[in-house]
Amino acid sequence: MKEPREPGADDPLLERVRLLPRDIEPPGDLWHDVAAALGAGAAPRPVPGPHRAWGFALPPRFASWRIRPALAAALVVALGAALWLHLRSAPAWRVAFTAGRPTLAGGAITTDSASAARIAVAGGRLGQVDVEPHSHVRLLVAARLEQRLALDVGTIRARITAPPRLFVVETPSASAVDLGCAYTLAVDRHGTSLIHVTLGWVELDRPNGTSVVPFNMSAYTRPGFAPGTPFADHADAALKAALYRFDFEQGGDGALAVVLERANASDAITLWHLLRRTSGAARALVYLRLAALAPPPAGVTQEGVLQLRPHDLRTWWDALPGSPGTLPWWQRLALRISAWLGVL
Amino acid sequence: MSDPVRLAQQGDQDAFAQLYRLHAGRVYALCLRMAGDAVEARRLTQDVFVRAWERLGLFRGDSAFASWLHRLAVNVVLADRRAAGRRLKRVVTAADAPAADGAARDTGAAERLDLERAIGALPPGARAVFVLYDIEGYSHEEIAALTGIAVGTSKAQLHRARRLLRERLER
Repeated sequence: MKEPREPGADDPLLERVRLLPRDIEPPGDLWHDVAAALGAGAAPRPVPGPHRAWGFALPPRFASWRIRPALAAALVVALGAALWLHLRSAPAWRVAFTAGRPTLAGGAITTDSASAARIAVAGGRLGQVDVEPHSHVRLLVAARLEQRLALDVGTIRARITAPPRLFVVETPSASAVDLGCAYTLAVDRHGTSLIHVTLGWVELDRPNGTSVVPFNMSAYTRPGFAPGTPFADHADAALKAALYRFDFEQGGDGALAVVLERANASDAITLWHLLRRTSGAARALVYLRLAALAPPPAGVTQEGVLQLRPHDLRTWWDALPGSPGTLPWWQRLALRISAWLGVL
Repeated sequence: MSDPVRLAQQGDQDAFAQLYRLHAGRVYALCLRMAGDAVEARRLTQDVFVRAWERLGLFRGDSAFASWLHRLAVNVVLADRRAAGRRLKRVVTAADAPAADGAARDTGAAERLDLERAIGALPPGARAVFVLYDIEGYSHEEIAALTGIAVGTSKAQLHRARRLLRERLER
């Protein structure tokens, strides 16, 4: 927050602006709305530790090195220099036709049944997006610190090498925030979307909720609903169907019971998300099932999880099988280089 | 890091309510002036605090909580403006301008109300730059980075906003 500039003494307009109150009392009942939204499951969200801000973790033994501060500083400098070189300019997006002749008008790309296009994000420096047939994509922002497009309908395949949170795709039902990844995103004519992540992970954002979708998982979003719960590619079909009913069709306890019954260890991330989408006895059931499939690590208590304490949720998340944090660092690096080179 | 922030990070909603009481006026003022509409401002303020609650874990105490929250509010409002651009364009009229609710209770109320209404009636792009630059104190470079427009465009929008305000207030 900045202090307003001192206006010129001879400028009546700016003098009047200076006298404007910094605070305006909000409606008295607004807190009730905020509190209700918090109570609906939006708890402080677990945050990846600083060591994985770039999508891959250092090997644990590094943490005990005495040179850790120097190593961290050198890494920061090197990454900063690389980022600066990478982003010192943000060239316009380039669009190439990969099939037929898509329509380009007013910053929008429309493909028909026989056409497709490829968008080079920031001239290809930050990745590429393939626009499949029957799609409509609009380019919203191409700035150094933000690359944003809208997928109104159709399918895109994105391979993004930009730093996390720089590349965002808006759909009618959520914002897909890139956290260093490759994914396919499809939107139907009703605005329902399905995202399938193949590398890294993607955050699906709405004001009323957030889902984090790691690689080898998918999630639905629908207009008017919080983002759907992520599910594993190989999850049981009955589990997927029940999860959809729970998220979007008021499936309630019946749908939740099917999810819990059908879940196995590879569904731990799904159950972890459900902790924040349930309350009371239902949340306790989710906890018990998740604890049976992926026992909570040291320091995580049942009480803390049931109260959605950020520390407990974050620690458990980091230890879950399939969580991005569990990949060895070299595997993360190899995946990232592969994506960078366009191998994936 | 102050106690209410630390407690809120641990999931304490009472502590978060305390933070809300401390900062809601500042956030609401920003949302009201940026949106030019009291209903939208209410929705945006709610969004800001829900986001703040969700992202409290990201706050490391490197800056004042008020600064962190303020930047979050600016980002929420600008993101909403971009999304709104895709939806039905809404024409802001003088009648939609920030209401007198809390802004004009003290001395000079009429003048302030006129100015608030005039700001609310500015075109959205010019209004955003004017609020961020002249009221909130951001630089043109910061505004360009936040909004995705060029520095020159930011300066032009500010010039336009001031000209329109002077014309409106001199009538």
